[in-house]
Amino acid sequence: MGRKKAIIWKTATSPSWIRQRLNEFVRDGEKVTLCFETDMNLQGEYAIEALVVTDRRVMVIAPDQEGVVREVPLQNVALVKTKLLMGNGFLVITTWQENTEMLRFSSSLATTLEEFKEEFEQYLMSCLAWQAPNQHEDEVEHKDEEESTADASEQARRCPKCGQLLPRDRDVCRACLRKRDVIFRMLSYLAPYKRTVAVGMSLTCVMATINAAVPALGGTLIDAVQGGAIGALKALAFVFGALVLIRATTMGIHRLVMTRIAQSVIFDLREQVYSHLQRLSMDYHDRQSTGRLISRVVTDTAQLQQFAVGQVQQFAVDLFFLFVILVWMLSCSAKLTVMLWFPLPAFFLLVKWYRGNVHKVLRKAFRTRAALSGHLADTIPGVEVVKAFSQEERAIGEFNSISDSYRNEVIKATGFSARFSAAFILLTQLGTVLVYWFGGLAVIHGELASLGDLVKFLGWIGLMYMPVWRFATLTEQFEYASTCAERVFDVLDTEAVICRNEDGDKLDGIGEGIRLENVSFHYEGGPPVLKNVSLEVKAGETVGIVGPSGSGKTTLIKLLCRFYDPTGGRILVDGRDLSEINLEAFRKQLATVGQSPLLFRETILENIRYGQPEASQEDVIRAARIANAHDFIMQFPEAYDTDAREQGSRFSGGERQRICIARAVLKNPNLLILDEATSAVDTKNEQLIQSALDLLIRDRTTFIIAHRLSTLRNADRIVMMTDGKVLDVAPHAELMARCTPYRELVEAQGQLGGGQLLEVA
Amino acid sequence: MTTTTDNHYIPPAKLRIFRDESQNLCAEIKDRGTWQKVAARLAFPYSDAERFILLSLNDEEIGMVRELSELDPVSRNLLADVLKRRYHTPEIQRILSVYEAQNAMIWQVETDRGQRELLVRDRHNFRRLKNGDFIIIDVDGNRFRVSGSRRFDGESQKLLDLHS
Repeated sequence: MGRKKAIIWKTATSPSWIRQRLNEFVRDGEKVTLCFETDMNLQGEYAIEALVVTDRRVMVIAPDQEGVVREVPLQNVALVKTKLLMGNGFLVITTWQENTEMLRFSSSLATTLEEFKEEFEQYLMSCLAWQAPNQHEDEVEHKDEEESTADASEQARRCPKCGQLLPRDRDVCRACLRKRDVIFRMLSYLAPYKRTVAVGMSLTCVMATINAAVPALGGTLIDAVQGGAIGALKALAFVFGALVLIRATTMGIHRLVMTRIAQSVIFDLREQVYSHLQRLSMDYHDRQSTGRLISRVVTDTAQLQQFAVGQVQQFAVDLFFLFVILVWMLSCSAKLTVMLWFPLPAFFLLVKWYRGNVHKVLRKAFRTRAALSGHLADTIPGVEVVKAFSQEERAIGEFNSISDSYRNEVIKATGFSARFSAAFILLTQLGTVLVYWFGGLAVIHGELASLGDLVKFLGWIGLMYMPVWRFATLTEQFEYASTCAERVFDVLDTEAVICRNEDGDKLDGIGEGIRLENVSFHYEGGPPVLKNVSLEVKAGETVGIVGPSGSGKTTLIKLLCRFYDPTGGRILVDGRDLSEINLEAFRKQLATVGQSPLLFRETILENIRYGQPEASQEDVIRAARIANAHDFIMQFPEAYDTDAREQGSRFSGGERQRICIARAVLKNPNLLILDEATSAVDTKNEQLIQSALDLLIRDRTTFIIAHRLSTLRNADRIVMMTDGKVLDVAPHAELMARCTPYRELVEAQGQLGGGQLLEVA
Repeated sequence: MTTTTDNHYIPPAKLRIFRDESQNLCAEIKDRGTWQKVAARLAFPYSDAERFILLSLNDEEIGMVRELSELDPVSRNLLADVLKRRYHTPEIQRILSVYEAQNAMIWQVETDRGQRELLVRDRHNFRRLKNGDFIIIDVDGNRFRVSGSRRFDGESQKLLDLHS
């Protein structure tokens, strides 16, 4: 069931109960402007209340209560704020005398409430010449009460079509996805190779027919031996030899053909998935873990390929095989054939029971296995912490406990499978027993042509088990394959939120500057992170961004890099809307140096050249010199040909950072983003990096996020941010004079010895 | 990034490499001075061994030589010898045997410098270069080159494919 979208009502469209109640106590001439219906009362019970804003007051009414529950005269309103807590929140109005909690709401309404609050504030501004006061001190007071809504925003994502919750790690709705569509889509990957598939299937059918013919030959052989027919024996030996030869040859060719199809399909799949992944926007990558994405490309595609190429073909061939055997059996003895299928109803019940329970049984085992992996993933990389706190015995105890649970679940699951297997064999063999008895009687009484016919029959029965077993367990295999397929298709069906604008304006440089106009942003389902940020930065200017944790600094940078688009307002580059500029052309102008430098498994030369593969060695050396990296690189025996190894593990943090700066230098960007580029290194490395950065930022439009204010010594202006808003923008000296929070930040760092890291809570 | 005049590169016409009486490697740069006991290092020892040679003294950079071929013949040959000695990377011409011992692989090979036994820990000690060559680094840090364009005899090739 989808969630009803909460709306901020303007009177005429508000629910009828609100309009009816308002008639009771809205005074003459009083004009109602805004309404907000909430889902909780102040006591925390789920109940309906509504906040109504008129031109005279702010009041709360409830459908089951007389009169007005709470009210505040509009002219007394000094401040409107929201307090977000775990699973709920409050709308608080501060008057000159006190704070009044007007409304309580569940987390489901958090985003809408924020929108309502903005509308409310705008209304206040328009009718009272009311100015939103400096909220810094009050916000800081409540900050430690507030809970992060990150988890909530992760859980609140819903399908835009049916409104159902989306899986945590997916963007595609399972309810909207039909199983049949998944199957057809899986099979569509075989389409480019249909001729080869047809050849493969034909070869498989040839082998199946030969396999089915073997018991027939065996039975005929017995009859020939019994009858002393040497001629027939010779012919049989010849036929058998020919069939063996054909089967062996067919098998060899079949293997080659199937391998070719399988590898081609998986190549296509992986290429498609990886290419699409690279084109998806950052919001998708931020939601997914690295391990999960690697699994999509490597493991899930392999499962999908195995199903489409292997299991589907096997199913078709098994059907054909059983059909051939059945025809021969019926031609041999219809009575015995019917007898064989006597236990069939019980067999279907057994399979139904199995399918109905297998998921429950296996799910528990999978969950405990996942818990085991999770424990290992925590304690093995974190072994240093375990040892430092002497928690080895505890870690061992926890591991043994989970391991024990896993053992028990596996034993239960195996017991379940064993019961099914035993019952399956019993039922299938029951038919065989009947055939032995009645078949033997039929031979003795002459109803069956010969002993050889009985032998044929028994031979065919033996061949039937595997295909029947495969049918019985097909659902389970299909479920697993379709789960993998869904995960793969989820990637392919996710559209990049950021449009690449391949036909958009190309950017040759940044001549005028960058302007942010009333930029707002919230992550999907989450509260606002940036609120009406306006900022103008001239080309070539260096701007520092400071503020407490959670003030929106990194989000601002992500918008500047166009990893996300603003949810309100716009960003202009040289007067052009960033969302309309060709994305590739824009990113060519951009270089970033982050806190965690990432190198690839290539040589230093290739790492520096990453964004400019055509750059000459001379340019690479020059870039490395500017980045203060050349000297340490030349100390390595292999110098620029040194292999960086996985994620640059060969180098220290400072060395990696300087190689990344060289990469940025080589790109010669017009827009440079430095996101706490010196926060993860020691003082000596910081100085080297800082002097490299000083050269790098010269004459480039640069945004620097820094906690260490010494990093901003060359900034033309500094932006002080708090709670998603720009508090003030000015050169350092002016900010010190007029912006108290900034001054406090600087003084605090000075007391600690200047340049040291300080997190402002 | 455009190529502009870079003070770090020594104009070839002004550079002279020679050995003094004590056979120390020396560099003389006209109008700048003379340095004794100079060290020469390659910036790209695998990918470009004839260019971008750093000359230094006690780890202080004197300058860089852009192209070895631009130097006068005497300087060029002397510097080439020094670099050849510094970057000792014999080329493997034949693989005689590969077997496991001491938790590593022992390679018995014939190189252009003579026969040699290598102790190689695992496949991570094989570096494939962009031009298709291999560099094998043994446990002591010795380096050996396997040319990608070389046609090994059948047995050598089989051993290389199996163990690299």
